[in-house]
Amino acid sequence: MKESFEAFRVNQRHSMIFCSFLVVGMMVCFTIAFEQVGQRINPDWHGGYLPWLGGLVAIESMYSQHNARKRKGQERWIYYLSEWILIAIVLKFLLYGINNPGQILVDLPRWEEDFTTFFEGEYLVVLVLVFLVWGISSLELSDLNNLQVREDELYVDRPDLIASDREGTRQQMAERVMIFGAVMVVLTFLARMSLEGLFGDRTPVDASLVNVVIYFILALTLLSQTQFAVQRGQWLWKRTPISPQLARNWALYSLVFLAILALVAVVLPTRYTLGLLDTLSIVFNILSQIFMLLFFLITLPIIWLINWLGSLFGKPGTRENIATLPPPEFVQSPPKRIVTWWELVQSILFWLFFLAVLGFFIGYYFRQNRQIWAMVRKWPVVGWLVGVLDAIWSWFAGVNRKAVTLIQSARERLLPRRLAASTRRMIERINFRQLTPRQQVIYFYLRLVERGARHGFTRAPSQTPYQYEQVMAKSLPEVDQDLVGMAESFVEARYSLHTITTEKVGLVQAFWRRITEALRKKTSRG
Amino acid sequence: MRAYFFLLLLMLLVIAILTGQSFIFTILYLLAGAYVAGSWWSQKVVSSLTYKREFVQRVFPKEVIPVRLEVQNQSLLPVVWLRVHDLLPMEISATRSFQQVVTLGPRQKLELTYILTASKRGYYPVGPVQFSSGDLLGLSSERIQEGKPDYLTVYPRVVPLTAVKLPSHSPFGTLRHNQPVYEDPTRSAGKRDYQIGDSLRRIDWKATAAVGRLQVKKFEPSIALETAIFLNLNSEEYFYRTRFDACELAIVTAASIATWVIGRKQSAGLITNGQDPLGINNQAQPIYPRKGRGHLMRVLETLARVKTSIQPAFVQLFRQERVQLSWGTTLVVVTGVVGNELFDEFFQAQRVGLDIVLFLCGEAAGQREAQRRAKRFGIPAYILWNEQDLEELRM
Repeated sequence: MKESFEAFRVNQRHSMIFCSFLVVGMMVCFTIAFEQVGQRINPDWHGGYLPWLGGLVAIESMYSQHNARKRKGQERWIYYLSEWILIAIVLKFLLYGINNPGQILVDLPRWEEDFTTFFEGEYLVVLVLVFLVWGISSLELSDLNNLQVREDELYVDRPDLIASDREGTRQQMAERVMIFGAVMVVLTFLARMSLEGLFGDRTPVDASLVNVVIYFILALTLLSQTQFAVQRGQWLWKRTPISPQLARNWALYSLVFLAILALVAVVLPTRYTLGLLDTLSIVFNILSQIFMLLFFLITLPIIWLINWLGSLFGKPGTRENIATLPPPEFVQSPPKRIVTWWELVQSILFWLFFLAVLGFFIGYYFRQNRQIWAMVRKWPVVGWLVGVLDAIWSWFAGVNRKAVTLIQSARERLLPRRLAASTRRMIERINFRQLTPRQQVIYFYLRLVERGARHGFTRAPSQTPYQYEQVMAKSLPEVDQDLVGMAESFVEARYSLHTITTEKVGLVQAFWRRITEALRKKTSRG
Repeated sequence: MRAYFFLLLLMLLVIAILTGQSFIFTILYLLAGAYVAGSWWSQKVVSSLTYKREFVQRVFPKEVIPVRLEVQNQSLLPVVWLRVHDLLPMEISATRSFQQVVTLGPRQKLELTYILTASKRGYYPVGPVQFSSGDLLGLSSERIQEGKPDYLTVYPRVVPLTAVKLPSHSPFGTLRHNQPVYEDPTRSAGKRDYQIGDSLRRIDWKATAAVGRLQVKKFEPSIALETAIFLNLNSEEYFYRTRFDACELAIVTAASIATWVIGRKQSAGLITNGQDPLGINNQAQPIYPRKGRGHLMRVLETLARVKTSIQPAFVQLFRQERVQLSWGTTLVVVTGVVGNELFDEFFQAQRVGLDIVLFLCGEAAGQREAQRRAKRFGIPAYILWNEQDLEELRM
């Protein structure tokens, strides 16, 4: 196991690098949300530098975490303090550089008089944000480090304790990621909503959703990496060797999976034009119309037949009676809003999703509290409803089973043809000259089976070569001896240890030629 | 973790309903999709896995068996992680299982190999293989698919015997004999002059014409050695301290005798009261004497599988099965101890024309006495305490 720990080490290194990128990306998205809110509060403010700053601070925090781990106690805190002071000074000068480089000369004498003026306005807000980003990044990296497996775990008496620690760390990370996700949602909401009490008459900014979606993609990818770390710990505990490509594939597949999901999520409808009851009423209307049409089509021949029989007995005057009837009074219906098909589809999808999520939560709750579910089931209405739902479900299951059986039987009917095609493709790929005499005999037999299948003599999987030969001989009596020779040669080549000579191959080839010629003639005769 | 995830989902749903903000629904779709699609993905890929285990299924002791486990992902979706866990018996593997965590691309095939060592006779299950996988986020529980075990038969050790003397009264065989009463008319041994009393059917008319005197054919006496090995695997009929080793020695003895007999182109069979996992009601079925390598392999396979049992008693089995055997058959009895009841049965068997050879395996009290009593009945008896003693029968 000690040797295979190398694979754990490789996976761990790749995973750590990938996670660092994820954290940087998340911090960039996080600062974009702040920038949007800042622009909402002060439309003249240009905070385009914030995402870059967030990214750089995240990278720096991870680098310093890496260095600080080598230091202990007081020395580590001095290291952090010096780092924070440096960040604060660099940030101050950076802001001067971005906004107004000349302002620095004006402010310098003011700091001498009152140093508190150093921390004011935009600088103070950005400084708080920078420290927040620095803190989150450091925490994430520290937790990621705690999730890594160490070689000495191979010799620990109670590895289950380490596993539970790891699960706890993962939980912490998940909580943090989700809380910041929720904060981002709130910030984006603040930037987009028209809240007059809060922002006065300032118009909402057209805040982009992209950063929120990307944040959640990266956050879920990071959580998947923490799951990978927990699994690594368990595999190490169970002494299970792992593939070195695991980290790479895990990262790749999780990113692709979440990106596809995000694309689908963006495309899906997020608003509804019709209420739930309106949507249901339209759907039931459509279904009832389809049902009526089907009923009409089924009963049409019967109606025709009855009309025809009625016409035989003849009832003159009916048409005249109808013609004399007064026309119905014209009633003006109230104007209706026309619902487009796209609006309808959008509403159906929306309500379907909404009801699915709601149902899922209710189901989840009852799965967690089975006693409550047992109690609720005893109520007559709920019991009846559950019975009806069960009946509908079993009906659907039955229909599904029938459909599957039908499809399978259809596939089985088509299978011999597919088998013959696959055998043909396989045979076509073989280089005959490279085969041994034994293989050549088998090759001729397989070609015969394939040719036979094309002419209607499909060999069943249960048929022995001799049984197959007898079936063919009934239709091709002129080559029955060749067929026997072919079957015997195949059995000898396939199942015996006898030496197969090239003369034997020549003989088999002659059999094969005569049989294929007979097959061809039979087909041309029809 | 899962609880927090659902809490966030619920919170977002409430916010979305209250505020009507469309972008929150997008996040909701993403999170709910991650759970639903992730669970579906892991379930789908685990159910679409196929495997093939290849190894030599019949081996002799001390052989090394490479096992090839081919795992294929039939789905178009990749398997992010897959834990392959193949259960192995301790008797043939240094570890209790073979396990590995792998990753499989769409429709990818992967070959895993490991080694088994046939260190002990037996019939061992290799597997069942268990595949487990899960979703990327760890929100749903692990999906597990279990395969079926394959079986490995390790034959018992066969000691090549060369000088064992098994008595037989079965005429018309292929083994030479010194008693002229067993003359075989198919084995001509020359001619001699006619003497009064010779059967006219033995006159060789061609030779008579050539010599000018009446000549009769001489035949070589021969016997057929039809052997039925009675193996006692009732553990209570072995000395309790050496029970395990004695039973194993008895099995090795039976295997060696069967190989020796069939190797001389004679018939051998096996009747035992041991348990056979493939037998009807777990009871080993009698294999009556036949010739040929195929038959020997059948006997050895049964000997590889059998285990000791408590029922039925050996005397009962002996009484029941000896009547099924033809006249002149040699009964090789391999057991731990012989009681009076069994000696009575031996006597009855001898009276109906069956020959008996006795092998007493393992250390037990009263073996010398049993050997002496057997001699008095004219039954050759061998005492084997270990495989060394068996090897000494080679001389």
